[in-house]
Amino acid sequence: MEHAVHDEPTLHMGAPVNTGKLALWIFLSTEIMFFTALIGMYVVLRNGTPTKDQPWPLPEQVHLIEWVGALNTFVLICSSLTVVLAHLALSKGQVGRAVQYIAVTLALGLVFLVIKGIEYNSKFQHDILPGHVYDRLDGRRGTQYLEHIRAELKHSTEHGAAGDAKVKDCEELLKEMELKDGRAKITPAEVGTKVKALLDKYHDLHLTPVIPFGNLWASCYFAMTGFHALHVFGGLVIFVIILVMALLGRFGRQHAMMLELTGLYWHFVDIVWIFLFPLLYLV
Amino acid sequence: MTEAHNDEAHHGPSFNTYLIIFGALSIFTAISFLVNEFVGRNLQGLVIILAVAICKAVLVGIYFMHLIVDWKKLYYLIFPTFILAAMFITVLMPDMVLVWHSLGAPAPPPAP
Repeated sequence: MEHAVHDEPTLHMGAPVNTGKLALWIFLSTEIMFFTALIGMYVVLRNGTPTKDQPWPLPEQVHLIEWVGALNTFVLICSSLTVVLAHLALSKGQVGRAVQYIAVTLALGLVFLVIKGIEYNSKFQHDILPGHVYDRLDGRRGTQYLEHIRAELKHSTEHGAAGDAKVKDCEELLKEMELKDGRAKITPAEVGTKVKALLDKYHDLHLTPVIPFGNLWASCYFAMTGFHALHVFGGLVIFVIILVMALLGRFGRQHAMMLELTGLYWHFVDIVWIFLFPLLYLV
Repeated sequence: MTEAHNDEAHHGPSFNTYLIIFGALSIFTAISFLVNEFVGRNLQGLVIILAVAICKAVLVGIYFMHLIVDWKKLYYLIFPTFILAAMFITVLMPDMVLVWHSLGAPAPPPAP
């Protein structure tokens, strides 16, 4: 084998790049196509919303907080820095320092997932889930919305302080929603308008607003961020494997290429979030 | 063979370069956030924010992913991917966006 290295021909078949790196870039190409499909779907669906009267949901309507997304972006950028510094340290033979950087990368990845989990919990709490959002009030869905709001208003009036302005307004709307001869006196759309007015007036009131295209938004949001979070988790598994190898004393300078390839995957995950953050939170 | 590839691993940006790029990425992230806060959700804000996102992605790709070293060895893989990605979005646009708007479909009932 050594003889073969010394007599290596000047011309050789294949790309002039490490086989592992070539394989990983081919894999990343497939991942680019995967996320392009998701992001492209979001772009196309959003641009396909037909009217200015019912625009795409704003972040505040779907409980997205911009600074939380920015924080998550910063966390991932920090983790990209630490993984590339880990590779730099390992290539110089500084194994201990490289392991420290990898541990920090793992910790930052976990922070990202925790923040994402908190955001998901907020969606679950407000029932902003695909198929659960009241985005259209025609037919049976409108009737369901009336029943839902009636229940929420009853809860607010029963648990609120008597004489409170908020409670009085809720009682007034509840009265307007009373059935007469088995039919509602007020249409679901009108209830939606009054609910919106109440929520604008009382920010701590627990009423479900109508969110046009809310189900479509929720489907896109959970598809994109869910798959991204799965990719983050996959990266964290690799970092755990590397740390276990280091703990067992089986991680050394010879693993610099392995760490570089892991870093390439992690940077790709970072790049995907760099596009997801503005598309979902900002624009 | 392994040593040759480890030598290859030495080539790339320096520690200080990585820190500078990290600083740039952080600043770009802050710019995106501030543009959203002060310029608002309009075409101007959209263009700035997406341009900033592309700059960030390019910086990560060139420096953190070592494309500054490996570009000549990998461009034949990466170029077609982006062309296909752009085509994928483009071919869907006429169906979902342009046809709808060109038909002048009546607006659904206004939101409450």
